[in-house]
Formats: sequence, structure tokens, C-alpha cells
Amino acid sequence: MKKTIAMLLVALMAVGVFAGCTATAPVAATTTEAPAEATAEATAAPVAEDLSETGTLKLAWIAGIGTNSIFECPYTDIKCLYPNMLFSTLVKAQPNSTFTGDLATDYTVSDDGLVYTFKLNPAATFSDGTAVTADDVVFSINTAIAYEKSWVKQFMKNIAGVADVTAGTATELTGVKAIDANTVEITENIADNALLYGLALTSILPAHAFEGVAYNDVPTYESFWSKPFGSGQYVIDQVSFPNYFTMVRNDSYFGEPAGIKNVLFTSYDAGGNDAIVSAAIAGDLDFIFGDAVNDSNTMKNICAQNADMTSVVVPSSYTRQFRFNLTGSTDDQYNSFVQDVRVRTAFELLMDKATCAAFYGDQANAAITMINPNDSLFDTSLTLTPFDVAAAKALLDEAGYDYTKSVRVLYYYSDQTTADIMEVLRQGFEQAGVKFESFLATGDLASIIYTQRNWDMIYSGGGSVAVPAYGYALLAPDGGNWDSLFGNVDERATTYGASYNQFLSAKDEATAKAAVIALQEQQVKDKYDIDLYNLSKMVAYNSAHVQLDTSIFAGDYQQSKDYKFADWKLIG
Amino acid sequence: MLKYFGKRMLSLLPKLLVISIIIFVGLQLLPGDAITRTVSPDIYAQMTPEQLDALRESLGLNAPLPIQYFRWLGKMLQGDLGYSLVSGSNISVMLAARLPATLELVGLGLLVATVLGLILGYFSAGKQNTPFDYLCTTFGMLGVSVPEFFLGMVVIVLFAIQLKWFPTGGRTAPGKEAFFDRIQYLVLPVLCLGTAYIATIMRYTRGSMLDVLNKDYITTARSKGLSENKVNFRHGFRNAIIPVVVTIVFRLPMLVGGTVVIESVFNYPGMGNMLLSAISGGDMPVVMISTFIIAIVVLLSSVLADLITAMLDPRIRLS
Repeated sequence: MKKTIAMLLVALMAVGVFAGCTATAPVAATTTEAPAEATAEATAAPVAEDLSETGTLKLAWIAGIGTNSIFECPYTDIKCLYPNMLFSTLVKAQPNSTFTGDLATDYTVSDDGLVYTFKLNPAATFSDGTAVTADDVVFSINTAIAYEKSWVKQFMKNIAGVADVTAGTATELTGVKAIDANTVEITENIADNALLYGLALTSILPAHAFEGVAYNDVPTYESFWSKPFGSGQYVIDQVSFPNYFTMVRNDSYFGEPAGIKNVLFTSYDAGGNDAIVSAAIAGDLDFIFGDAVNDSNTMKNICAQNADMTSVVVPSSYTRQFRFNLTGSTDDQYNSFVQDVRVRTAFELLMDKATCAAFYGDQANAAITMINPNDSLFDTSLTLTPFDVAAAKALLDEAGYDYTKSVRVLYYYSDQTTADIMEVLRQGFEQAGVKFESFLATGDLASIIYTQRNWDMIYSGGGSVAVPAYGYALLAPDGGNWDSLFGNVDERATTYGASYNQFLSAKDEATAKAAVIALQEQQVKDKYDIDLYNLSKMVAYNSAHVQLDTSIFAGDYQQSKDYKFADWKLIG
Repeated sequence: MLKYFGKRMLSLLPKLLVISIIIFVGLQLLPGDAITRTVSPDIYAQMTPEQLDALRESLGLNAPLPIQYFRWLGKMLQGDLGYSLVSGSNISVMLAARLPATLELVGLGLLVATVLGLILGYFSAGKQNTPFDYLCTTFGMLGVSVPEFFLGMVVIVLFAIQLKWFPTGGRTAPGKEAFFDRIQYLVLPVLCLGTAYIATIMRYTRGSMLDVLNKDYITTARSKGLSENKVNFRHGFRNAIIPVVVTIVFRLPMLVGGTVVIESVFNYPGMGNMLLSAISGGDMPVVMISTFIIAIVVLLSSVLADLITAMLDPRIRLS
């Protein structure tokens, strides 16, 4: 009898534990459908304005440096909306690679494409009441270039004086000048329209808040970054490291005020992506993007469990690609056959790109070049390389390939999907008798990739989340680490370098497209890198709580784009 | 007693020094440094060797190892805990934000677990082979068997997402800075943390009680006509609790070390998470300070365990 009672109690507890694992009805009871794509406008009628004044927009606070005691400087590859809300930039990126003024009311470009002149809005002020002047712009650009961990400076590398600042022989850029209080002039060494994208990423900082601080120390200057202020649509209100911070609408903003008054950023530094997903399911987040949700399966899970969440596929020219080590390794196991273009072509024939892309569902498509086939710059004369073992073997035999050698493939994405893709590729290669050895690199990646170089192919992210053609900067020689891996600097300078510079200096769409087509044709011809699939980004927002202009999802320019916060409203 | 206490405290200093050297050397054995381990390969690709060298120089990473160590030790002895190599944050500020969070979480977890574990273990031993005892034993097995992260995910799904009784994670929100306003954030993580602790303490207490209750002096106490409750509590429990106290005291370092799994599952910003991030990022100053603090608490816990044991058992002389 006693044993029976004990067994019953154990069974009851087990049922209780496992009941908690069952996914049941979605949290919100207001709707029963989970819309898969954003519509042109939200169908819910906006509630009265007071919700936008009394409610709170809930966002995630994500920072590469953690959320311990200072805010992350926006010149890194920051995946958080706070810089877009707090700071202004000279320009904002719009879809189709156009730029509109933000802090700059107007800008002109000289005929030779070397000199950009920006007129600043004289009404612009920082939230402490100080006017925004050309000196602040000069200060900010100098900081963005001087900061070693800056992600934005890659788009401004042709400003006059960058080489000297980078080499440490100068402290300031000669190519950035304040002509007067409201006019900034930027001079380049060679015409490079990527500058505009770089400026769209460069948050304008208040120079007066950094008196006596060296440019390189600005991003970690605690006095400012413990509670930064800017000239954007919002100001930071309360800060509680490492938990949350709040923002309120900036009433002295020079442009159209933000639609929602109160914003709460909650830190997910401790819990990471899983905590963000849980919060989204529970309805604690209104807008999410980035690594936590850049996976269609995760997004489907969120939307299935919280019907208020709407997922959006944002087209991107971010690609996963293979690049080749053409200059050798530091051990004796280098597969020198990868230096032969016939071998590289054969390897591409052994990659079942469609199957690899299918792992991501509608988020990915098999790639031909770095440019997304849906993009206007894509070369439509190019076709997808089919999976063809016989053709691959013929090329390998022609090249005299040594089948006893392995091809070593390095990758650093630790997710299961990547592991599955490696397995698909391994099976494809082995059908042709090629030994495929993939290994996950962790820890000191920079040393493993660029110093030790004990790999033949590397699987990595490439392309550009900004303007698609910027991905070809990798192939145009620039003295960086990839030159030592690709080699053939002179040859690439005459092919990729020339076409890429032509694109950067193009003043009309036809010239730009011609240059990008040349780049794509060259890429397909010599295969320094092979693109496996284009991976679009995923964004989710609570469409029952937030109404926004869905045109912002037309392009993937996360940090630089115009989010049109003036049109955001809280509706429920 | 005071002399013993003073001697033990003095003996901590050389031990701490040795611990700090071991941790420092161990960190140097990790490949890379705070730059290569935290900068993405894409950004690293754009940095020239001169820039990397200048950055390493500015962070003091180019100095010989003994210089780096003594530089760090010297600053620490002057009260300057330094700055994080990864984020540039002041370590004192980081600790000031994280340590109270961990103290709350683990302190509450330990308190709840200790009280409940002792009570359940005491009554379970007193009512051996009864349904109550079987229930406690089963709970004990489940408590130590079920992984914390699994239990955490279950309670989040059940209580936070389905029932919406508690938040999914975090420590606080605007307007909820007071402790009693933040209790709702502590319930689920303390429940998960406490379950394993309760089970452990309960099992220890039960085992220790059963062992003591079979002793001759317990039989003597009963034969003197004392009530069962007095026998169990005054004579049994007081002797049985000694090894349990040692177990509890040696969990005190978790008050500062935190518990990484619980903090990750519940997005709770504590010391454990900070330490894990620092180790994976090669953030030497943060790792050194954090482990130093943990080492101090471990050594102090050892002294405390001895003192409490001596207080509880007069047969033990500290000399």
C-alpha cells in the first residue's frame, strides 16, 4: 500500500514536470492567426495618441562589450537600436542605395567625385542645449577613423589623411575640415562613394564632452559613455547597469519628433539569444533583430507561440561563402592544388548549393555571386553552377589532382545548421573521391585564420549587408590580411581593383552597374571565393502593439538606415 | 580562539598570492589575448600589424609577464581594481553592479534551501520509512538529478510564458528598484537554485540524523524518559548538524562566484556570467579580480567552518 502511494506520487510529480514542457495556445488571446509577412500597412486601426504617450516601446539592449558600466560606442558593429535613436548622422541610407540628409540639410559632390560638402541644419542641438557644429562632425569622423576596433572606418578609408592616422604619423585627418560653423568639407584621395555609407554609420558626438581626450580613447571615455547624449530623436532618461535603461522623446530635436514617447531597453547580456527569444514569446519585446532571430526556424517558433509577433524577411546580400588560401600554410599539409582554378571550379561543382540553402527555408537562396539574385545589380547572364560530380571529376583529373590529399575546410559558426551543411558538402566531395576535412575553429580566430593559416578553404560570412557591391572590397587588393591569403596582388589590382574603383566613383546607375557586372564575371571566372547562398535577415515586431512604416524593411542597412521613428506608434 | 583566528587570517595572505599567480599563469596559457579573442575576424582583417601592436601596447599586453603581474598586483593593493580590457569598464563599477545581484540570488537560494533542507531532513529522519520519508527521498533524488537548466526552462515555460505569473528573466525594471518589488524576478531562479540545494541539504541532514539516532547516547536519552522530540532535537539534531553546516558553509563562495547556468537561463546579471564572459574574452583584469574575491571567500569559509564546528561541538579544540 505504501509503495503504491509512493509510486502514484512520483508519477504525479513527473506529469507535472512534463506538462510544463508542452507548448500550448499562444500567449495573446487577441488574434488567432500568425501572419507570415508584413503587409503594406498594419491593418489594426491605430488607438488614440495617448498610448504612444503613456505606453512604452520595449526593445533589447545588446552590446558586444556587455552592459556593465558604459554604453557601447556606435562605431563598432553594434546590433542595437539605441544609436539610431540617440544620435544623428550626416545622412541616412534609404533603399536602393540612396542617401537622404539627416543632420545635413544638403550636400554636394565635386565633378571629380573627390570633394563632398555638407551643410548642417543650423537648428540642430545636442540634448544639453549646445548647438551641433561642423567641429562636432570633424571630431566624430576623426574618432571613427582613429578607433582601432571601428567597424565604420572601412567605408571611409579613402578620406585624405587616413593612411597617416592609421600609421600613427598623424593624429588628425587632413581631408576633413570645418569650413564654417555649419559647413563640413570632406576630401578623398580617390573617388569612393562608400563614404556616404560610412557617414550614415557615423554618429555625431558632442566634441565638448571630450575635452582633452585622445581620439582613440573616446569610445571608452567613461564620463560620457556612462550616460551618453546626442542630437537624435531620443534622450537617455534612467540607467540601471547592467539591467536596463530608458529613453524619452527629445523635445528639442531639430526634425520630426519621434512618434513614441517612452522606450525601455532591457539588457539580455546574461541570458543571450535564448533569453531574447523567451522574452519575445512572452510579449516582453516589441522589435527584435540580429543574431537571436536571424534564423527562420527560430522566428517560426516565436510567431507560433506568440501570434502578435510578425516576422519579416529583409533582403540582404550577406552571403556564406568559401574563400581559398592560395599562398600556403605554416604546416606541411597544405593542399596546393587549390591554387589551380580548375580545381576550384571542380570544388564548386561538388557543392550542392540548393540543398545547403534549403536548410534556411525561405530565408536563403543558392548564390551565384556575392550579389543577391533579386538585387538590381545582379548579372542576370550568370547561371547557378549545378551540382555535377562527373564534370567535377573530369576537371580534377585534367588538373592532375592528387586524391590522397585532403582539402581542409575551416569554419567558425558553431550552430547545428552549419554542421549539417558541412556534412552535405562532405558527402558531395566524397562522391568525386575528394577527401573533405572540416573543422570548427574556436578561440583565437584571428591567429588561426591569418597567422597559422593551416586550412585550404574557409567558410565564412561575406558580401555586404549595406550596398551589395561593397562585398567586392575583399577581392580588391588593399594591403590587408586577405592580400596575404589570396596573393596575386598585381593581377587582382588590374581586375577587381579597377572595376571596384570604377563602381565607387560612378556617378550614374549605368556606370555603377557595368562595374558590378564586371566584378561578378571576374569572380565567376577565377573563383577566389565561391558563394554558397545569400542569407536574408529576419526581423520581428509586435504588430498588435506597434505600428510602423514597413518600408524600412526594404533593405538591410541596420545601423545606417532611416527607421522613420516619427511614424512609429503604440496601438495596443 | 582569537589567537587561532588571527593565525588563520594571516595564513590567508601567502595562499592568496599563490592562487593569484596560478590564475595569472593559467590565463596566459589560453591562446590569444583580449584583442584577438574579442575582435571579429572581419574587423581584425582590417587592422594593420602596427595598429594591433599599438593597441596591445596601450593595454599593457606587450610587457613581460612578471611585469604585467606585478603591475596588476601593485594597483590592486592600492585599491585600483583597473579596467576591463574588453569593454573598458571600471571593474569596481562592474562589481558594484553584479555582486549585490549575486548575493541576493544565491543568498536567498541558500537561505531557503538551508531552512527547508534542514526541516525536511530532520522530519524525514524522524519519520523514517513513512510516506513522508519516501516523498522526501524521492524529491531528494529528483532534485539532484534534474539539471538546473532543464528545470529552469520548464518553470519559464510554465510560470512565465503560459501562466504569466512571473517575468521570463532579468533582475529589475523601471520603478522596481526596491527589494520587495524585485522579489518577482527572484522567485523562479531561487526555485531552481534552491531545488538542488534543498535536496542536497535534506539528504545530508537525513543521513546524518539517522546516523546519530543510532548512537548509544540517544538510547540513553530515551531511557532517561525524555520525549522523542527532545531526544531528536536537543541530542540528535545538534550532533547531526555539524557535517551539514560544513557543507552549507562551503557553498558560501557561490555568493560571490554566482551560478552561471541559472544566470544564463534567467538572464540574471550576476558574477558568474561576468566571470564566464571575462574568461572567454581573455579579459585578464576581470578574471583576476573575480577569482581573487572568490578565493578570499573560500578561504574565509574554511575558517568559518572550523569556528562553527568548534562552537557546536565542545569536544573540538581549535588548538
